[in-house]
Amino acid sequence: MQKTAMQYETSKQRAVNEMTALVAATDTSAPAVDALPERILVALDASPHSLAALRAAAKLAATVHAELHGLFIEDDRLLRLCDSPFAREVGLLTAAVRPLDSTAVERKLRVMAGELRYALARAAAEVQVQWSFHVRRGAIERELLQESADALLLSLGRTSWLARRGLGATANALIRQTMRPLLLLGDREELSYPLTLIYTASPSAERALALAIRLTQQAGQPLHVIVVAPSADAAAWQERLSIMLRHNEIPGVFTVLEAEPNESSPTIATRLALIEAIQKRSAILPMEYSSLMAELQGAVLLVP
Amino acid sequence: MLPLPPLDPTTLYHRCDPTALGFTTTDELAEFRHFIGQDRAIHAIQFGIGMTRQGYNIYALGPSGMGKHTFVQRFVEEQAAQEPAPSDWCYVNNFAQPYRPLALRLPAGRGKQLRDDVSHLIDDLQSSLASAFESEEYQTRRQALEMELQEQQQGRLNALQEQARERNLTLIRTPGGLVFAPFKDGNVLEPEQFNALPEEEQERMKAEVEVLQEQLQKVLYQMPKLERDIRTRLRELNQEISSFVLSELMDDLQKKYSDLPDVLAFLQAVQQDVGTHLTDFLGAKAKAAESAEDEQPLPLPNGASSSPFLRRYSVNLLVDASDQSGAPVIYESNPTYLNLVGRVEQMATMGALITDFSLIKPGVLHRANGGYVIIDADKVLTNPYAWDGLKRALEFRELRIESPMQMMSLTTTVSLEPEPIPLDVKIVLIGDRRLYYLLSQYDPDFNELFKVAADFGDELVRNNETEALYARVIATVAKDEALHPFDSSAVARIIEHSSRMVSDGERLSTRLQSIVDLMEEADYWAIKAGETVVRAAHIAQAIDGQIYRSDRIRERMQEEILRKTILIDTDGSKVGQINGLSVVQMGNYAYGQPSRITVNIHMGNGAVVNIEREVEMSGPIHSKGVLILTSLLRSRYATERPLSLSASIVFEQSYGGIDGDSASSTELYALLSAIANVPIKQGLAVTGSVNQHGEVQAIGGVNEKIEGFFDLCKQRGLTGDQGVLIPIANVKHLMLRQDVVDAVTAGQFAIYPVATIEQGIALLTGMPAGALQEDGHYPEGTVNYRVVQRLEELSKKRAALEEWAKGNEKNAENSHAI
Repeated sequence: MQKTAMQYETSKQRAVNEMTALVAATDTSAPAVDALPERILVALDASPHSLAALRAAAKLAATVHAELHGLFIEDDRLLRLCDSPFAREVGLLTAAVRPLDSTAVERKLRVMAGELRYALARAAAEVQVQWSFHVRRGAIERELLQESADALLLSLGRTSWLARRGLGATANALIRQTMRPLLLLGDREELSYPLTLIYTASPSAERALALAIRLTQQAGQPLHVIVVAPSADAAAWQERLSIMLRHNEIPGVFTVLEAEPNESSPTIATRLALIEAIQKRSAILPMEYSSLMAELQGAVLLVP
Repeated sequence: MLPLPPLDPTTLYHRCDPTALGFTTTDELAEFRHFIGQDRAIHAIQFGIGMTRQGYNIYALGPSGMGKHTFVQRFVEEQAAQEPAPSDWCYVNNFAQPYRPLALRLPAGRGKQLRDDVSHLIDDLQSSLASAFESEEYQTRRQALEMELQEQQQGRLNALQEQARERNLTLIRTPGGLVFAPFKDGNVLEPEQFNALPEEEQERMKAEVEVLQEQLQKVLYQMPKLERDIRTRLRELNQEISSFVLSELMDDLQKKYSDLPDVLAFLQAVQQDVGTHLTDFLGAKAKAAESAEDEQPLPLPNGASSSPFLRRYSVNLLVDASDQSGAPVIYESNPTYLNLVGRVEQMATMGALITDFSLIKPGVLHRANGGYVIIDADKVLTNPYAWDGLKRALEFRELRIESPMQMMSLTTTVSLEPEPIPLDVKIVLIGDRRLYYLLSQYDPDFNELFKVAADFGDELVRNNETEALYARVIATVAKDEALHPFDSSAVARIIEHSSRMVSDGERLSTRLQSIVDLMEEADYWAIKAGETVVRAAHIAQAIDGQIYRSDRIRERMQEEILRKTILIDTDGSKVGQINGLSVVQMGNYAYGQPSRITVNIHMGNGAVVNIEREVEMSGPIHSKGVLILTSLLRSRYATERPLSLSASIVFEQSYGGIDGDSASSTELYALLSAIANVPIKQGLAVTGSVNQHGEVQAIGGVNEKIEGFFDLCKQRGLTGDQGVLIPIANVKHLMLRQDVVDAVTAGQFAIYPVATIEQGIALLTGMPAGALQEDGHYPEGTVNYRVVQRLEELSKKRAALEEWAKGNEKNAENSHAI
């Protein structure tokens, strides 16, 4: 059921005008690449995961010449909790129980913000991109959604918790609600080229394709495409994608996975096949495959 | 008594007959590469080399320029070639105490093998271990362990989170820890909302929070233990993998070096260390690759380019005897302390100086261990601490590498203390005699450590046999130095010059270097003359050239005498004045110079005043000579009456010091002349010491002295009455210049061999000395008669004077009494 093909040229001879028309038609169905905002937002919380997200965001910002914006959110739940009469903090290192003092918490938050600002400045300086750093107070998911509304993408750690695998509550909430692409990384993961795109021909897949072209074209790298298509459409879709990539001067490496793509979540067989095909490579997924996020290792970019 | 006849010209120069040598040129002669006349030194060196007990090191003593060095080196090399090659020595890291590197002894050639084997082992280990740790099996097992840790940690926290959720509580992360918060409808309760809850509900939640906090504490307490457990299991996994790889690679090496327990122990230590430093070991390769990519502005010291961590496994091959056949023989031309006993070098790294066992460098004693070292004594003594370092190594028979600062305890910085290496070496010191006797007298260790003195004589007996051998030595030198062949006349002339060098017609010089110099210079003159064979004329030209280049001072002195700035008479006769002869040494060149000695006498108490001594310009031997002649005067002429005169003796126009007793007979002649009022012939000059019985004794530099006076006379014109009185014992030493011999042959100059003072004074005054007759008197018309008369006269005058003085004293006493 799985077929791999590597094509840099179409097998069929089509007229140049037909190809041009096809590309134009594809462009209208997808968001205009040039119109994308030139800002990459990275959510920072001092966890190793968020620092990995910072490195990946800086790399992408350098590739697409975008600005790098760091955001640190002071959790208002925590600050409100400080006023509770029974609130006690258990130290992570020593397990000592101590009163949750709002002054001390605010001071620690300021210290964290200072350290994160420094880390952002260093990461931006390494790749020579412009950067800014902001601190907001409020609910973490809400603030991130607001701030990322006009960003090219939002980069964040899989979790701020101890685990390396799986997704944290914030990541899960954002996956459900975000309107912008989400880049998720674990603490030892990094974004690496070539990127692997899962293409299903859905609207979010088309947006993922546009973003993949944008990120790959300027990096001067080939693009791996896993085409999840019914057997009847697979060849045509691949042909179309091939033309598009060639038009954008991107070498394409195609893998065809014959499956029904238009499902809200992939079947177990498709999931396993995709995980095996992607392995630890950096992947771009359409929104309908968001359930794969928790299982994939490596950087994953989810496009709504 | 007949006047003493002068010496026959044939006795003035001990000629070597070229025809008796029996060859035309040196090309016909066989090589002769042995020392002649050095049997004693050869015996000593043979003994010293053969004697293996402690302290039987050799001091080869003798003047410089006689080829001691060549001889010793050749002799020792011949012996060393028959001895086994020494061991290889390596320094390796002491993993237990890195500041005390370990020394490994291996059979010759195996040190290099070990170094290469260990280097390959480390390379192979890096590759094999890297492959093993990148293998799917290892990665899977490692990830499984990590996942287990995460799952255990996460699982416990998730379980706690779940319990909290069931109680309407949630776990929130703070900047420094975790906190439980009341939770309702997905939101944390505001304080107001919490306070609005019924009191019972608030209390229940508080109690539940406390319970959960305790549980959270337990979970967090357990986390380090969980991590520790996993780390232990990870270490065990690493050990399992590395042990497998290590044992596989080590097996062959351990078999190869199974006969060397120390090497096996080192390999075992390497195996253990790699196992316990796996991260550093595997990381070192990557770091080395990174540093290799960086362009180095300056080349680093040897070994510095490799990874600092991996250097700990390297083998520092200190002594490599793989190419050595026989025992080593090394001449160390610069025996500094560090060159002798080795050193620990340091290299600058990040602004600091660091060192390790790989920077230990050998000294000559390491390289010659099991063999021989030849050192110049003066050099080892003049290099700071070198002598002490050498003595300590010989005394304890081990090589301990310490910096001079450490040795003097002037520094306490952390440095290496390499394990001492057993020392088995024979030292041959080469130096002059003075140094040997000084060391022997003032350094108590010297006699313990250098028990064999190889004393090289500086002359040998001259006879037909030694002349023939000398000729062969000359032929060998001519071939070795690529000189033209020397004909027999040239060889004969060299042999004659050799006798002249030791101022003895019956001896030959062993200072081969001076002979080689003379031959090279003669060869030069032969080439200049366009000849292909060196002849006697070229030898003479070379000798004349050597003298001419050195005798500026002699010529100036001669000029001043001729210009009468320095007063020396060479004709006529004078009372109390005589020509003495002295030798002036100017570096390697000596020349004779006449000096005027005068004596004044007057009535006195018998004291002979040596004016040089009064002003401290007289050496002890000269002063002794004057005292001897005073004694002789008293014993001969003042046995019956007191010596009623005083005399003063002086070397006129002498502005430097005077030493030696060769002028004592001369001074006595002048004294007798002054007492007897008999003039001395100024055409004669005198040399020779005298004993208390009036016998004239041998002196040194007889040839130079005669030639010095002859040159002056010749300049003024030879009269036929001029000559020199020499001790008869010095006749055998005569090797006079050809022009002197020619003048004597022509009757223009004379050399008189004097045995007694009587012979000498008769020659000098033309008046017989006079022998003591049976009646106790000397015959009239003799010097002794006149001396006795004069002394009696002075004695009477002195007695009368004393009588008169006593009378005056008595009168004075009487006057006083009145």
